[in-house]
Amino acid sequence: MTVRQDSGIIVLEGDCGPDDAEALLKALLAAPGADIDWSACVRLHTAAIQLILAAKSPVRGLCGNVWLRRWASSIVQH
Amino acid sequence: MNEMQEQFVAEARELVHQATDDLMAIERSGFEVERIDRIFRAFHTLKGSAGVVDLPAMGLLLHAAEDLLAAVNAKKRPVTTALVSEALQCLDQVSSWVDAYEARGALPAQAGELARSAALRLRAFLSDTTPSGAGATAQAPAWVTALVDQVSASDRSSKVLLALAYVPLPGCFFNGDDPLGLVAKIPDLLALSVEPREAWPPLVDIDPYACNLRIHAIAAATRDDLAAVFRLVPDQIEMFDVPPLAAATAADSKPATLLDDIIGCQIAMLENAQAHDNLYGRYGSAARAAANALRHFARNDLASEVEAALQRARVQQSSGPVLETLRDLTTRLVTPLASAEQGQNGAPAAGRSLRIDEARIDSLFNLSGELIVAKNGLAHLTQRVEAAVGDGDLGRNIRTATENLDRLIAEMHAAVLQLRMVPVSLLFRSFPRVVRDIALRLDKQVELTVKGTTTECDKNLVERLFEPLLHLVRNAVDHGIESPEQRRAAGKPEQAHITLEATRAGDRLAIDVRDDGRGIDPAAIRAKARERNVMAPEDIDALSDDQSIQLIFSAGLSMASAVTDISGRGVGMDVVRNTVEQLGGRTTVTSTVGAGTSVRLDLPVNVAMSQIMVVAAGGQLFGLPMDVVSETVRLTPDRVSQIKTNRGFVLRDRIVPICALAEVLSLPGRPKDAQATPLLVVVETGGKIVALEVDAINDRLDAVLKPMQGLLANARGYAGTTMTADGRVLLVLDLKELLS
Repeated sequence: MTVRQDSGIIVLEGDCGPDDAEALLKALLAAPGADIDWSACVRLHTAAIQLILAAKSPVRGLCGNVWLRRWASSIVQH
Repeated sequence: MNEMQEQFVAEARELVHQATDDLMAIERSGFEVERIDRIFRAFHTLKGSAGVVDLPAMGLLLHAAEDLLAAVNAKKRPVTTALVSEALQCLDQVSSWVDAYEARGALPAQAGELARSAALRLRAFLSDTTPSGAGATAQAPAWVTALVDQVSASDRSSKVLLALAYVPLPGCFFNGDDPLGLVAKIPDLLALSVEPREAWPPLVDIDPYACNLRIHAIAAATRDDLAAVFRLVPDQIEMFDVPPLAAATAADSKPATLLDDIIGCQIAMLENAQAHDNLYGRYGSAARAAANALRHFARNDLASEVEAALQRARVQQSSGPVLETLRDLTTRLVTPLASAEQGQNGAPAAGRSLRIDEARIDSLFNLSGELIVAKNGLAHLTQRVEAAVGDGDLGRNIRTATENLDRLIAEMHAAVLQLRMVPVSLLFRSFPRVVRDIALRLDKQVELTVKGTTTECDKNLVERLFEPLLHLVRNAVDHGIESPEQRRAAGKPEQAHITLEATRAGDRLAIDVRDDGRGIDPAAIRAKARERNVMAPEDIDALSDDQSIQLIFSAGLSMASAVTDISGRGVGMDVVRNTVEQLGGRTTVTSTVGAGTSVRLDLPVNVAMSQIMVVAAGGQLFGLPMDVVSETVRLTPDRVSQIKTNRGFVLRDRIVPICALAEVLSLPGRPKDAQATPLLVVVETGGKIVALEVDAINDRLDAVLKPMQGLLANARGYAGTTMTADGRVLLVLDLKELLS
């Protein structure tokens, strides 16, 4: 399980592939405005990233993926 | 390459060829529904196949061309020469990409960019505007300026930056693309912005599998770096140069090898060439320098690519193909490609024809040549056995067996030669295009008729004759054909005719290039020959008109009063004659002032097998190619006349100088015997006639010549080696070189 909800926070873990986009969208629709914790996420597919952008969700923690951590401010700049 | 890819290559070439023919036909005859349909279908099929083998760049270019043709088809655009030129240029590009794809299973790294700028040009042509970013590099848009501000000043001044816009297709996730995953692979990424392509819809309406992003990036990477990262989606990216902050430091830190340096210099030279420069000379020497350097570093495969590009450049009269190939090489030399999958072809293609790798046929051919040498040895032994055992059964049986073997080997060799036979159409097919392009540039109206295309000849001939024929055809259009005004004044139709015809008589192939132009004036040739000191003035005066015009094949005798960039440097005709002679052929020209000129190349159909006369001189055996030997004579001493220190004799009203072959080869000669009757081999080569004095004439051989190899590779005066019947190595002389 790479997308789960934990007390109002959407937690992304491990390798989030393109198939996880649908689960993430469901989670976002279920909890509008929820924070996203991506510190345990080692890979995040573009399909998922664009949902975070579209939902303007705040992200928590440092991303587990080194490249995304470096460029997080350029990508998720709500 | 798998079967599907092979089929794509073969089909694409066929389609390009057919579309080229049809395009030129509609240019001549105007709108023809059937042809336009066929051209449209050819482009459409090409585009489809490019998609199947996953070459998006090719698809992008063809898509734009297809739109243009659709407009023609719908009669929204007239068929103009400019339009045909655009479409032909597109086919040239496709054809060069197909070559690249066949060679290494991928398009050159810059293909995406090239496709985009070409597509842009085609679309601009369609809408009658000039493309926004005419030329290879488009102007940097506003976002570049904004994004580049995020780059530190030190990076900006010390590095060459490139901006990238990447707009993934909405359906790209289904293709397995991860756009940001690709962006993460950009080397030396310095700034990045990710924004929606269209404003985000409310979350409930969002399609999680449709990509709606536009990605902008700045990187200290080269175009080739980025092209490599985005090689699968070249149609979705665009690159822009970032103007440097301060003057960039000239020498890059990249450690360049000698080879890189050499190729880099050639690129720089071509890039700096001005239109009015001698472009032909420039790209010719650049390609040769690069090819030599590559050969030196044992990259023969790449050297042949450069040479192929040179040939395309000559056809297109532009340095483009050479420049493109050299640029492509620089990237591949840095990251040598893993050798493409080879030799794992599955079942052979069905049907009656079988596609076979040329190298296999060549090795079969070499083996068959060796077999002939071995057979010659056996024939020699048979004679000795017969002499030893007398006229018994054994001797007779051995003779019969040898003769059988002899016949079978001859038949097999003929069959192998047949495998190498290809139709002349392969040689002729590019000429309609060549003539069209040159005529267009010179404002002349020329129609080319091609005849005898099904005539077959050795593949070697097709490869080697292209260049000589190109010279001849160019010369005909450039110098032979008059301008339309001159033709009208001379009472000729404005449209000139050039005929390219192949005919076969026995084992000879004749190729004629005829034009109905102004012809060659023998008096003008004689005057030019005197001016250029081509030969002694009294010899020039003695020439008949027919002999005079053969002088156009002499080195340094160009007939155009002004040197043009198409022909007229006076090297072409010389090259024609040399190449044809190397192939064992002859060149003749006939011409009538005011009515036209005809050049004939007369060649043996099979260049592979040579007839050799074995002679003895200075205590050694040598081979003389039979095609230069005109006769052998044994002279009585009274027929030899001494002219100062030279000897000569009269042969049918011509004075023929006598040279001792041993002397020519700097070998010890026999002591001169005043009573001896010299044995002479009369040879004619390079327009000269000489009688070579030899000690003995031994034999005649059918032989396959091996080129001189190793330390002897550069020895002058030798055409190659072969084996004599008794197994000795025989040096075969190149008399033209030896006697010049």
